[in-house]
Amino acid sequence: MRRYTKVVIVIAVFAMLAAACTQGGGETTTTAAPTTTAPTATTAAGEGTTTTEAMMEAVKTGVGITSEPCPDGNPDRGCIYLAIIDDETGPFAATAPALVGGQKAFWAVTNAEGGIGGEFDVAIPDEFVKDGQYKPDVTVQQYTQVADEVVGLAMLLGTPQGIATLDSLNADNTIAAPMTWWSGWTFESVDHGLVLEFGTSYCFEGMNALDWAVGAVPAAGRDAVAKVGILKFPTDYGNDYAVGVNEAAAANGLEVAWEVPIIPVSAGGDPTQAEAVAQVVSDPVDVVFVVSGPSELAPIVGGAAQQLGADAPIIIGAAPTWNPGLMQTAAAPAFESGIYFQSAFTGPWDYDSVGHEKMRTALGDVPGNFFFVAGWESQYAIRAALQAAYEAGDLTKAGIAAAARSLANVDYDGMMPSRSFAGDPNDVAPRETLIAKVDTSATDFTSVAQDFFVGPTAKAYNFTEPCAAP
Amino acid sequence: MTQFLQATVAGLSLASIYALLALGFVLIYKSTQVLSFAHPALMVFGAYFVSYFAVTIGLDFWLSLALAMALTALLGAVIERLALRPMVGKPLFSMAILTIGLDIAIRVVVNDLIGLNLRGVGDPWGFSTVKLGDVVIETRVIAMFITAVVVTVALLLFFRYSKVGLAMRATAADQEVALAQGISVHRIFALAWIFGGALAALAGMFTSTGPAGLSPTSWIVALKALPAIVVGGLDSVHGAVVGALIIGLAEGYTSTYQATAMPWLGSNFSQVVPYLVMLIVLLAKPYGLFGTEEVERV
Repeated sequence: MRRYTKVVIVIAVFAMLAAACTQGGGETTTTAAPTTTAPTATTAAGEGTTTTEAMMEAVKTGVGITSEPCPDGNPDRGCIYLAIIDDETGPFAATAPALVGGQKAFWAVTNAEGGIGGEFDVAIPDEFVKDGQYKPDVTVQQYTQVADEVVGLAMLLGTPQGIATLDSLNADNTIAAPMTWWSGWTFESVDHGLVLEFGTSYCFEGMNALDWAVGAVPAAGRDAVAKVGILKFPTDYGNDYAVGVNEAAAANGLEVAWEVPIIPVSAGGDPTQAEAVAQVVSDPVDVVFVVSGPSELAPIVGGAAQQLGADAPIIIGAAPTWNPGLMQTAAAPAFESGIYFQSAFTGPWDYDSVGHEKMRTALGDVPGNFFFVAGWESQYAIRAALQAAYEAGDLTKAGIAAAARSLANVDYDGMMPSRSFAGDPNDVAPRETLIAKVDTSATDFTSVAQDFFVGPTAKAYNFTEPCAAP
Repeated sequence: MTQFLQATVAGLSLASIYALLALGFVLIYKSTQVLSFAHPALMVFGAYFVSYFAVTIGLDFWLSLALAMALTALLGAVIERLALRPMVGKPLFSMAILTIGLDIAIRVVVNDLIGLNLRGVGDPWGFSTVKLGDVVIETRVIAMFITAVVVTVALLLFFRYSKVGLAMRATAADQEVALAQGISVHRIFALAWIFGGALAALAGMFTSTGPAGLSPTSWIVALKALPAIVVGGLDSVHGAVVGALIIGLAEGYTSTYQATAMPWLGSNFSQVVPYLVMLIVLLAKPYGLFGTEEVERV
């Protein structure tokens, strides 16, 4: 009897350990009975809710996935958990509600359309939305808090922050959607194939912006472009874009007269941008590229228009510089005067695409903004990776990471061109850019001036390494 | 010459903003001996409500400014009553740290109110300019300068000739003696925060005019007032103004001339200048140009 008691105790201890491991996040195998799925992993999951006999085999799952439903989720489905590391108290704190709002709305629609394979909903609970403060060390700390609770990061904000987190992501096989457009994310040698970036990089955007200006500026009755200037944040953002502009300038035989760093207002920079304005005024160029935020853009455009009048140059801002609130400032007449254009990797809020329409419907009566659009778009590749992993029968982190590395033709519902993640960066890196103009009748005051295109410089560019250091 | 005058105008524009902010700092410090790090939050709080009343609701701009100043003054009074009065008698360092916490807490709320988009304050100046010879001056800069002069003169007269002003000076000099003279120290503290709050709102409104608008990063400007009050002396009204003039003009001239005269210093050196001037002044005059030197028994 005593012998049986010992055996029972040993078995009980093993059972408890096994149970603890299951809840504690170790990679385990559970069986599920998939009954629905999308047609392929590379198309929108929402389109596929048809029953497929082939999917009736077990799906391996691991940390970040439960057989219990998501909070407020479909009771018949399991739950895949994602986390977000945003900036709630740093320089981009104001963007957090829109970015996270776009991301959560995307998954709400995905879940309503069938989730992942009709068997899992995807959730980003509030407790998994972490404030990285836009600091690399805090971002890494916040990641470690959720690493064993989620299958991936629906957002990882900032290039230095993403770079700092890469080793941890790699150790855990955690995929992440970055909220940065640094050209280095295209390289598996940099991001281990775990970072699923979206949109054209700053670098190609800069090339296309200048290529477009070379044709559009004289077409608008101005002199042909001969000299350009660059005002940029001295970060990966500014440097990456500037490399693109320099490449296009060289290809078109133009002079980059000056390339001046500007300090963000959020970092103590001059809110009047007097030096930047003085640069534009004192050394005239035909086109100025501004790679900054809205707070810096307004005084530059306003100051240039005020001091130079009809001689003010064409000013092209990089995607993150625009904010509809600019039209509430004293610089609004300058923006409306036709001297300002916006290069972007995506269509503005009112853009005519299936994805934009879905997004607008899902988000309802929000103030239309680039950040809602970016938040929404950032999730397509994550969804495609989850869908592909599900169809491969392996939703463990390793399985999802493997699926992410081999994604092809991820579809963005027309919000921007589809793209692949598997293959040589020179072949798969998106190179399309859209040019927007100020339009007071549009929701976010911008509309399309030139739909997606690839300029000759970007088309010919041999993309073998990141354009600029992170 | 035109370039020099234009640089002077740019410097005076900055000096006017710094002076309005510095006066709020000094007003509170002069009466309570507390260096209020909550001033940036009060500034954006005031600016937000100018924007809310004038742009969102559509009230008259001047009425909106008055309402926002009143609200910010009320917030100052609440801060004094609920957070600082219980701290009376505690080390001044602790009270200063407390204001840092208040600043962060209030800014989080205000940033949420400001939201994602830049906001205008509906001011009447816009981007309009006047031309004096070859020098172009924004009308909002003229308004800022006149306001700074009027507020400075009013405060100097207030401290010199009004009963409350004298009571504030007495309280700052020695709270116990002031109490013995029948001065309500608590009332003086509250008044200092009320006036400081109203001035912060006024400065916040001006920083949000022009193309910059009001954004969650607007509060940073208030930090530039710190070198001004340190240069002028923490407890001196005219010192705050002189400090603001020195800092503003130094920044204005540097941003105009440094790129060509001393390019080896790199870009944006003008942003370093306020702190450089502050360091130099502190080395020569540790209590600032017009600050009261502390006399300690040893």
